[in-house]
Amino acid sequence: MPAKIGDSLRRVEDVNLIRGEAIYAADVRVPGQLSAYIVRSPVPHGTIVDVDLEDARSMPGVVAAWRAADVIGDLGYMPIIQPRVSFEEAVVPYLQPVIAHDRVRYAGEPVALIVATDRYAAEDAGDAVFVDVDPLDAVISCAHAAEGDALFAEGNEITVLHAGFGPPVFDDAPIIIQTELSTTRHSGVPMETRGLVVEFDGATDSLVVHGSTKVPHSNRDQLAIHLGLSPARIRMKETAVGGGFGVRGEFYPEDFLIAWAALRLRQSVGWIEDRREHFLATNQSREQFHRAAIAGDEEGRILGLRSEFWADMGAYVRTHGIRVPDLTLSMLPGPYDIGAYEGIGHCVVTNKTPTATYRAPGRFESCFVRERLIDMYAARIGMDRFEVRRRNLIRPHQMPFTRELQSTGEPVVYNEGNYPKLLEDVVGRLGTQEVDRRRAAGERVGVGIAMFLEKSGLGPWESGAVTIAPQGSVIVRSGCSSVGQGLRTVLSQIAADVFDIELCDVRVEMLDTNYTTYGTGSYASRSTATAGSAVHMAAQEVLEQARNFAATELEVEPQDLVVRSGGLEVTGAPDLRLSFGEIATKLDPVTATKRGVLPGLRAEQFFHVKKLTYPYGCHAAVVRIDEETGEPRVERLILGYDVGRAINPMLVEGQLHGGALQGLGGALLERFVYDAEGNPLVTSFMDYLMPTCAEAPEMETVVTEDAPTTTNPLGVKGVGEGGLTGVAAAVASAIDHAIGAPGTVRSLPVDISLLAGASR
Amino acid sequence: MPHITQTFSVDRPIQTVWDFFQDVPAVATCMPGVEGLDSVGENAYKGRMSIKLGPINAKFDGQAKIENLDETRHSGAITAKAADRQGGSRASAQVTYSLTPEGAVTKVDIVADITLQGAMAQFGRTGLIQEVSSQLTKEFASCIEQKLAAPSIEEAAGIQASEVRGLQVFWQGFRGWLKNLFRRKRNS
Repeated sequence: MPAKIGDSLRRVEDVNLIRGEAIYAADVRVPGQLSAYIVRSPVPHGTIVDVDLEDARSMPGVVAAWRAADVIGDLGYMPIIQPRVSFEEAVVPYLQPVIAHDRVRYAGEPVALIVATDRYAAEDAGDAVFVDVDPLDAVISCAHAAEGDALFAEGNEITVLHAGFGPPVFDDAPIIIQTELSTTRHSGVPMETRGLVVEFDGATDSLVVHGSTKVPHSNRDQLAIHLGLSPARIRMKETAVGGGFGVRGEFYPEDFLIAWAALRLRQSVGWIEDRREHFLATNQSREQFHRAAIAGDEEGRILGLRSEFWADMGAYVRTHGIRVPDLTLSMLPGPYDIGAYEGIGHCVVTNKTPTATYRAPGRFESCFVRERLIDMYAARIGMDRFEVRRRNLIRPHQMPFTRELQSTGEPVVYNEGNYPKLLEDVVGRLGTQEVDRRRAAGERVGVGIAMFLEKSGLGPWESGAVTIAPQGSVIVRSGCSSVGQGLRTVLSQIAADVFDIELCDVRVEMLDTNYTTYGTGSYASRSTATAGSAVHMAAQEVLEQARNFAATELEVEPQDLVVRSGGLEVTGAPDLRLSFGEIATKLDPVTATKRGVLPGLRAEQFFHVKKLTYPYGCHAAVVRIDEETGEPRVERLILGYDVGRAINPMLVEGQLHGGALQGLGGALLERFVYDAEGNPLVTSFMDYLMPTCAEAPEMETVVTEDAPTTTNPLGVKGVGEGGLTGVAAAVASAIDHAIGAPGTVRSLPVDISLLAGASR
Repeated sequence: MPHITQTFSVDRPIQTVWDFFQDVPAVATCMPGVEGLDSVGENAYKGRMSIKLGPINAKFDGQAKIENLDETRHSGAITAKAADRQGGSRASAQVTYSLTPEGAVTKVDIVADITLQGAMAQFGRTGLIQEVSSQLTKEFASCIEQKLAAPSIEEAAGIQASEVRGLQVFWQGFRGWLKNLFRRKRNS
């Protein structure tokens, strides 16, 4: 059966994964490969007195032991990890060096690099390195970071972001509610930790980086600058990825250190993070403290929202860390027609692991803040929570709706959407009667609701290439990488739809920058919208090439040909046909030159993002509170989301389910704890609680295609993050309802001790 | 910062206990895990203390200084700083101790503020450090009593802290912590 857009087809990736044949970063073996180990600061804040490598260097199997002075000695400078997104000058002093030189600012910061014949030797030698540090007081609280000991000469407040619109309403609105709300530090914790193998290719004097993902092209260019190489001498190759979630694949200190070691030794070097390192070194996220307020009238009309918040960036500003407070600021008003908004975001440094984006960055946090405020407002005026939302949602006739805001440097315009319909769809599925009956019988159970906007299809562009091999199979490449989201299936399906072929006749190649020279990457729910569009455009171009050739061959007009079963046939004369494989075969260099076209069937296209799209969602939860322990048990999650158009509805559901479970983790379980001295107390799965299938509730999706976007040729809106965004807000809302005390949940993860004694 | 208070009694008169406390190397033999204590000046010592805590096996090398010795009030203070070169854990401690007579028995009160950094610090949070220190103190107290009760100096010198095995300490500490946890729950 030919695959069509809209079919729920099984993922093409899975057979390989289930058979255990997938090659992950740590599986890559190249001749002569050495193993690296990173020695990290045990101390959160201090001045480096000495990094003693003597003992390590003499240990068996050790090839090299280096510290910051060796990097500077070799290159003549200390490479500083550069932002890959637009940034303010203010962040420059706070960017992270690839290895700590005179100062350490978080426990886990790299201070030395060991290269040995195997991991055992490298790690043993790492243990023999003594890092002598004169400790300084650590800065822990993000709200009070500015008052603590300075991490940098420029002070602990990096910058203050501002956004807003509308008149001042907080002086004389009939109802004003002010409160403090916070989200605790947690992050994406992929099953596969970060890792890479940097192969040294002596024949071409170049490096092949295996295991790159998310943004390989940008990382290639950054690495080239730091090493003083031409980007043409660096080749980034994708491997299978065991989860990305926004944290994996950015340019980290190790992305420089391992490549530098390979270049310096002229030998291949591999590195894989262990779980403890992952908890110390990989981007964390979400830590924000909000002083927020809502203003409204007595009739349920929201007049204004305000929040002054502090975003904990950790010890340094990483590649795109600043995106999180930026998105928090621009996404806080959400899907509501609110007359006034003021946002002030303080970006501060603390002696904790640096932060950046984790699935639904800035949306998870701002949704929690906004939806909590709306619930509190509803309770104050004695109005149903659903009704308050109904009265304030932006209505379809107001589209396109322009906010006087900027987000990621772009004006905010909501192009299309029917927010009230999605709310009613979800409410219809929720059916509150059952919960009402249980509540009447004395059970502590409640329903919660949250509405939100997502964003998708971030630019500036993406590449897609389609080639039809002479035997007929279709080869697809794109500048996005597969981070476990099913991109290869989606791109296969988009190409198969154009050529009317089966999914197995399409092969999506792993990303390799030698073949895909240009690419932007996989993040911000952009891959289907951008790479999908580029592949669609390239496939259309290939189809036109084939059509022109076939028309001449079959002596008909091009418009008389229709696509059927992997070929072109003459309308009304199905015997007169040429398969795409036959056309590609016929278009050999001799024939093609005679016809004045290029040999074969192939095209590369670039989809340029002119406007962002804003998908929208509505999450609802049913939560029961255990009478004795106070444990909130999430019984149902209803995930409403408008995707515009689903390429593969099963994958859409899968994305929503996976995201929702992570949202549940952030709502109830996951957090990184630091003690008063800045010691990370959570460095293993003993302490970092993730939701398992035992905690997974019944999940129901309400996927709508009410508002296809006009911003891309497929009409699709990204779904990578929308399963997560509203879960914590909906769960918090349901908990308040269950215990009959609106406004109880004001921080995440929910403090269960608040619920143990609470009575209805 | 773990704040630890420990109290134990020694079945000996206060002057005997106080005199014994002035012989730091002898006292050190009663501290589980302490070895190679050397004097490095007046009231200053350097040495090593090994602690096994669950999966962590730390050897702290460091220095301690005894300050504010008060003969009349039978009290003193110890400032100590140590680092585990291998695991990268660091510890610093501010300890005050005081002796009070209770009839023929001497009560010893110890108050310690300990700052831990590195791998060892991860255990500070759960109260395990508290429990482990309580185990160490018990061993310390019983060793001192035995030493003071020994009929001869030679025999006294032979009495040392029995090796407190890491896992045992860890387990006892864990049990104590768990018991406390449930006691708190029941009371709340």
